[in-house]
Amino acid sequence: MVPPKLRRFLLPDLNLRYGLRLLLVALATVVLFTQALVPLRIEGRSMEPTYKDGGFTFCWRGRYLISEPARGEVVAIRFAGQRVMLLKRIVALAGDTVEFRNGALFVNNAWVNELYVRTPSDWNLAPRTVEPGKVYVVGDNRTVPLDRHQIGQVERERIVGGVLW
Amino acid sequence: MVAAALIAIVAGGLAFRFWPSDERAIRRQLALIESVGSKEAAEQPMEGLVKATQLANLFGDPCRLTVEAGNHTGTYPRQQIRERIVLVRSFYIQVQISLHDLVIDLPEKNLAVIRGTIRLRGQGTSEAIADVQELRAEMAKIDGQWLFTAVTVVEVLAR
Repeated sequence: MVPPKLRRFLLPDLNLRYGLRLLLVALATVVLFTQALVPLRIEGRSMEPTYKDGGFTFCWRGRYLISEPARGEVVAIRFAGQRVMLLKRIVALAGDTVEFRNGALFVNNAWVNELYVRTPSDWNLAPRTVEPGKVYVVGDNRTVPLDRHQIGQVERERIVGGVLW
Repeated sequence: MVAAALIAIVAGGLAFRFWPSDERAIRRQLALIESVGSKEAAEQPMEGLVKATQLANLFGDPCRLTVEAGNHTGTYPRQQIRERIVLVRSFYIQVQISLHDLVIDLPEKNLAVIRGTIRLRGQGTSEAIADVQELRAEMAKIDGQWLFTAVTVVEVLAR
């Protein structure tokens, strides 16, 4: 015997009150998954092994509402809109100097131990200073030749949010 | 009475959906980029040439092309654009082009400014290819057709 409360929950009366509840839930879902937690289907290998091609995560748009992006964090970067975004890792902030020497990352002339990078790299990039209002981002997969890897400084305002996991 | 109201709503909706406008004409041109720019693995050379011509016909003669990442700007005649399209398409065995997040502004009569994201996915002659770029373009209505007069590949990540 199903308890009446559970029965009402599972098989509610199709009345106006139920319709309004359904509408509110639908609206809340749309707002949640378009404005707060944007689903991301990962395509491409530039963030392997941290994020694999074909993987899934959410972009948490509230991540930087009250804090600023920090080094080592993975962020979603928008292009013209939010249908297509880049996932990249911040390696340097405005004013920092970034450099690659035989695959090793140097920020402000100090070597950075990147535990998330699992593959050898031969990248060489002359030192450059990150401009005000920008951060420097790189992918975790360094096996891709540097000239074919999208890296560089990006405007802070293009960062849509962080990733949920 | 209810049926008449429903018919009026549907007719109004269809009229709103299909009423000709500059924005719809521009979106049709942009949709052509996706269809004739993409390439199937089984595409025949003649079909490729026809598609390249169709794609080149979307550009004004001449058209200004800018690649911010390479600090490159040039003005090219349509014939040269067509030749470059043929060349670039030959690098791919198969490629799919898609446009996203299109915003079309019509600041003045017969002029449109477009922003959007272009995405290429496919197979090159030796490896898989995936690329995303932000585009900013100007289109002008020339002889009744919306054509690109300037296209800029925006530099999102600056090395």
